[in-house]
Amino acid sequence: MSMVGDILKRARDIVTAYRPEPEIEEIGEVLEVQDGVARVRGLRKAVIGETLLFGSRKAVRGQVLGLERESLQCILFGDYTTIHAGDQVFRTRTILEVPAGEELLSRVVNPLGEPLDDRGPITCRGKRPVFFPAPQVIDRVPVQRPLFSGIKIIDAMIPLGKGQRELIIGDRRTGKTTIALDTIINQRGKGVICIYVAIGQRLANITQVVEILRKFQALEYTTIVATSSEDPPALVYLAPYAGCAMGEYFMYRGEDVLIVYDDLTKHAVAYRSLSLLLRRPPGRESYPGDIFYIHSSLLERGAQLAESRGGGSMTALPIVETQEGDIASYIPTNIISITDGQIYLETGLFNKGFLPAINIGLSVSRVGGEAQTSIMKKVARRLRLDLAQYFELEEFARFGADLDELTRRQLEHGKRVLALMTQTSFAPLPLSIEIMEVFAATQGFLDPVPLERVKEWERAFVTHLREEHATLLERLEKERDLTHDLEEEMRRVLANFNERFLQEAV
Amino acid sequence: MRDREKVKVITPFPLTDKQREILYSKLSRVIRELFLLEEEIDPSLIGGVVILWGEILIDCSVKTQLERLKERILKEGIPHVHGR
Amino acid sequence: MIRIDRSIIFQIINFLALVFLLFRFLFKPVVKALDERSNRIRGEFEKIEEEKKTLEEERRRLEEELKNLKEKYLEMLDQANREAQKIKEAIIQEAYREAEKIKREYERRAKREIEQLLLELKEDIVDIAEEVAKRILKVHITPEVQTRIIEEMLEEAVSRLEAQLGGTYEG
Repeated sequence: MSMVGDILKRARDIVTAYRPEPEIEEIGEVLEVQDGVARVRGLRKAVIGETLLFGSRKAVRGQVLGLERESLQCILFGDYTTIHAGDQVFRTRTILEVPAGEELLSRVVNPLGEPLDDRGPITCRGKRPVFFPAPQVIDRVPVQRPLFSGIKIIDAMIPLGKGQRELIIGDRRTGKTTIALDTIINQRGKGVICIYVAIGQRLANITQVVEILRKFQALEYTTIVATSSEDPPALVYLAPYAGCAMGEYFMYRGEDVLIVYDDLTKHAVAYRSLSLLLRRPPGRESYPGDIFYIHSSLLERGAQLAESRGGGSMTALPIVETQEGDIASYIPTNIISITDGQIYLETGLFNKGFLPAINIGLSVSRVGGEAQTSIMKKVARRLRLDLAQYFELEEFARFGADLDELTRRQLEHGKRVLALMTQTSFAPLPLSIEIMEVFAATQGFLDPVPLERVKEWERAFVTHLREEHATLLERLEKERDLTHDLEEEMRRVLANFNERFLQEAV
Repeated sequence: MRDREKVKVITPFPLTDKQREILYSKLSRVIRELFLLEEEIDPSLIGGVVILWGEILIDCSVKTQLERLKERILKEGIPHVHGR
Repeated sequence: MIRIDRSIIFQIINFLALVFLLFRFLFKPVVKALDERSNRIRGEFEKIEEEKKTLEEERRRLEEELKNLKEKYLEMLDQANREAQKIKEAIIQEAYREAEKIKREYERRAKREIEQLLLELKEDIVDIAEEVAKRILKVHITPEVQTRIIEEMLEEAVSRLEAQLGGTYEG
């Protein structure tokens, strides 16, 4: 086989061309190692953030996090149980870098870029520094292009835009990860590259996420950066920055990126452990003094770049887990003040079966009207009003007061609007169908439908739209404005459908 | 401030006088203080010498050269298998 | 000879009375009855004719409808055929795509396996070569060779250090 011949020839050439050279290296010595944190003597020229190699085989990587008078403080990535006091430490003279590029898509990697998914080694053409300054003011433009989550409530009332940072916050098991995954799944075919960073999650959860993304064919454009609760705190701490660096590779090439940090609460805890091991003075709730900076420097790296820098964007969806709904505690308030809005999930709503369990009153998207298409904006305006009125009346009605006809009708209308706004998980909807549903709800087309048939109505309506009104759907996706003519057609379609639907026997 | 600096010298075979002389003379060009050679034997080096001076490691061993050569050959990778 | 006497006159009057009575009470009703009957029969005939006409119309209408239905039926058959054709095509297309996908996947896997094998082979060979080299060198490194190695390599190392440090190195 000429292939083998090729290999041998190349090897022979290398051997012939080789010139022996002595190696001169600065060498340090491990003074102590504990829980993934090492103190190193020597290497005085090493700088903060530099990558160091540990052990005579240079097998374990670490990073300088602090300089003491006579030693360096380092965190170790990888299997630090092989490193002992007295081991040699070498400089690399490079700041920590991580491989980046298209080769990472559809793969599951650790924060060092090493594959975790049994699909062979990864050789990336590019690499990016893990820590990198956020884009300057002059390189940014305001968020002006929409990013659709495929979830009706969000796209109607809490719209997302490319380059925005929107926090997903709530107690455990309220559907936070599901919303993020839905958004990722909805990016299929839209040219957005997705990165999901699992920060100290349970291995079972991570596997589930991979399976879900694979099942909905989202894996092809997604990279998963995974650290589990079993990984050393240094690796968990590194995960979001590594993911961000991988995203920046694409952003600075003019592409659009969506990155999910699941979740920053666990990240804060890992960083707290590290800081305590590094003997840094603990502050509020024992978190180190720079815990805010740790997160702000991460989140500020997401932005919409100006044309002069390629016009790419990175949208961030950080997730924070609260205890007992307390969004006023330390870490949640920190991150709320950094992000451009939050989606607040409530256990109460979740238990009542209202999914996604988003509390619309406490959720907000501070991105301004630019991120919503004008048709949706118009159609959604009434939605907010209707729901607000409904919530007010609901309180009132709960006290068993006798209601006049008008109020009762408003109540029934509101119930139907609310019912239509619920959505099953992993079923993101295209913009056109979302617009039709919101329009139908707010314009009262659901009022004649009995409450328990609303979901059935929705299923039938969506099928009907897809089968018979593809052109209308296309118009809703493409057109700039809600013209009178377009609105009339929407009404017609709805009226006709309702007639047919209501006639069918229950 | 310090008493005679100790420089560790690791060789695969015990040093001959000639070798010791060479080491002294060359090393003094960079080590300005008086120093003492601390000798150690490590047959796995095969040839050459490894010098450990404070924080600097000077590796002139045959073992390391072989390893570098091996690394370079392996780094070449394999030519891409031709497929459609 | 006909005797003309009074009885003849009575007979004639009788006869005339009879004729008159017959005419009045027998003929007329009978003729009327016959007329009526003939009318009736004519009426029946007309009715039959009408019914025949309606039936004829009806028949024509049904024929027309039958023709329509036949047309429609043929049309539906045609459409069903076309749909079936479309579906068949779609299934075939899908099967093709699946087959292509599977084929490509296998190709990819085969390629990867070959690359993997070559890589392992190369590593093994290099390891063996290293071993061989080490063995040979162990035998061939005489004290003179060792001295030379030390001298040359150390010279290069020291020159480099001299350039880098430019003098005293503070410990």
